[in-house]
Amino acid sequence: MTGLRFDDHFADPDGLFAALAGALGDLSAEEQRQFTAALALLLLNQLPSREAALAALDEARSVVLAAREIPKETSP
Amino acid sequence: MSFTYPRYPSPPIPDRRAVPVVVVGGGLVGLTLALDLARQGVPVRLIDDDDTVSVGSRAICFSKRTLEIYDRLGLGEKFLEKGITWNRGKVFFRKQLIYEFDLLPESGHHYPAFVNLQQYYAEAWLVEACAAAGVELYWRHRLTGLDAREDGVRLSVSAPEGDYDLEGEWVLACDGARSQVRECLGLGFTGKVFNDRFLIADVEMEADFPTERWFWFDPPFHPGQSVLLHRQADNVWRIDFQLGPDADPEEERKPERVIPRIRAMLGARPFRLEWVSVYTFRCRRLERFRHGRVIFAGDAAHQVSPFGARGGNGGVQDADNLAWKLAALLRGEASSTLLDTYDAERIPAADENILHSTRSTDFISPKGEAMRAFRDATLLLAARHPFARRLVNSGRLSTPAILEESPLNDPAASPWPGCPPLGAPAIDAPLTARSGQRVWLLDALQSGFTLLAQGPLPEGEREALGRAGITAVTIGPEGELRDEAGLFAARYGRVPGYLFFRPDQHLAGAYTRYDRAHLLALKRWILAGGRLSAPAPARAAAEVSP
Ligand SMILES: Cc1cc2nc3c(=O)[nH]c(=O)nc-3n(C[C@H](O)[C@H](O)[C@H](O)COP(=O)(O)OP(=O)(O)OC[C@H]3O[C@@H](n4cnc5c(N)ncnc54)[C@H](O)[C@@H]3O)c2cc1C
Repeated sequence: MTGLRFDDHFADPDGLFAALAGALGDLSAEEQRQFTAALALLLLNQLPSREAALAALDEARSVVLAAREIPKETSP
Repeated sequence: MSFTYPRYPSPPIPDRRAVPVVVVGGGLVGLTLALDLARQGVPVRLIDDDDTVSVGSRAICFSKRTLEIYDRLGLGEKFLEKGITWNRGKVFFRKQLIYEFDLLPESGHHYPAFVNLQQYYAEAWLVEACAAAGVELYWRHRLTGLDAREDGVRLSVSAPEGDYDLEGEWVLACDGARSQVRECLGLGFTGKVFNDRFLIADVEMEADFPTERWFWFDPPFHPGQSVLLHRQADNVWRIDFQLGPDADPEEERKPERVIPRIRAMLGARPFRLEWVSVYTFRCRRLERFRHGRVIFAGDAAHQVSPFGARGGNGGVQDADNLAWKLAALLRGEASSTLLDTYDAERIPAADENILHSTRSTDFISPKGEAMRAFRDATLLLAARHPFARRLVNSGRLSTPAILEESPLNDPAASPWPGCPPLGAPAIDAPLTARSGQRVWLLDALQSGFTLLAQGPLPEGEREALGRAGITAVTIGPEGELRDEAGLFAARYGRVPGYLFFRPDQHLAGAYTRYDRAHLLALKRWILAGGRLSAPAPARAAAEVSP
């Protein structure tokens, strides 16, 4: 820790999310859906094993289902 | 409300119509620049079309580097006393806390990561300090026209008593986002304009929420949009509600629209509405900031969205960068090429601010369904997966510019592992003076060009450097300052070395061997404009490898 760049751990430091936004940029809504699916398949193909790919699918599903449980009421 | 807006008197049309420096605009940046110049002995006249400080709710988050600059200008402690210190933030998605961050997770700094304070307080203190430092303050004197020549600038000014012309050797354009100076020179901006509208509501209330920055994506009390909560001085809380691009600004400002939004968030807690406005944002800049004898700073030069608190903080760093250069030029010590290094240093800094600010705004206001799905998936994953936390962007908060590509950095320097990069602002550390008094490292860097020597200097060298306008400060068991906590060593590397700082506390050179002739040549080279004027001076003495 140097006290200089003290927040390097957050807010898209590598610009990956920004690159994703750039890649979607001028695509139509339908093309954006295809892009998203194509990207997921490409990334699955990058995983080291079938088990890792299945675990990623499981985790993605579980994260989305868990969102159903996030309470909706109350204020700060 | 505890703040009473001052009404500054508008002076009559001045008899003296030719001055070295005219600052156009007495906002946060113009006042900072005028104060810095005046404290360096430069006669400054400031004209402003209004007669009070920033009205309503604008900047609230003052960053560590800004506080350090204000410390150099004698105002830092006021911010600490009046403002709200914070280092931590929380990010929520819907009702779930997805992560927390700490912007300054280490001790041993005079100033925290941020102090929250209403902009009007900062400006009121700056006005007082400017008056005390001899700045000629001309309230309600509005710039209406400008004729820039090679040897000076003629300004047309409209005052309550009538119109007049004013001649300035240098004009510093700090007249904000709608800069009249920019208009007069016919200069355009490059960048992005965002359509999303945001409602800013300042409310006064008693609340025991922790002093942290809280940011919600899609909260139950404001579905589909984002909300930001910040505490300011005087029990005032800033709430930013994202409204989307289709919101009607006139309608949204009405109390009957605003109060239910706040009620949904705060529940039955009593509050008083202090300020409401609706904003859209831009992330853009001028192509160049220096146009001969007219130099732009602050919002007149560049604009960003408020997420990241980079507008005012970036502008204050512009002032810090420009003031010593112009003062040196007016003292006859520097060449006008030194002013070109303002562009070389502050344009990359503005680009960094614009980049981060644009990225944050893109994350907060995703374009299209797919982008929103990616954004929301990132937020869902962030609660469980650290990789996704890195992608969440509710505003990457202002950090000091590191002038790594600066033409004023000494190419012959030999920083060692653990030494901050050349171009970085000095990192603070607690030290002990011979008297036993505890001092801050940055206090030792307030007298222009400074050499920090880890260890003793040879006999007579301090005086020799002093005659050349370089202050020497020694740190070590035998030095003027002792590093009892070991934090100076930790932050600057453990090699005994020599660190050469510019008047704005940025590091220009680091050496493991003392070489007075080189330091003197380096100072001359910097004042001539560094790499923009000539190759750097060679070093006679060989470096020892650490
Ligand atoms: C909602 C909001 C929140 C923000 N939050 C933050 C934050 O937390 N942190 C941060 O750092 N920044 C923040 N900012 C940005 C910050 O407020 C600006 O960047 C800052 O005010 C810029 O200062 P300035 O002096 O360049 O311009 P301004 O403050 O706009 O000052 C310009 C001055 O020039 C004067 N002027 C204009 N035209 C003329 C003329 N023709 N003749 C004479 N005088 C003239 C005006 O009266 C004014 O006094 C925020 C902004 C907004 C809108």
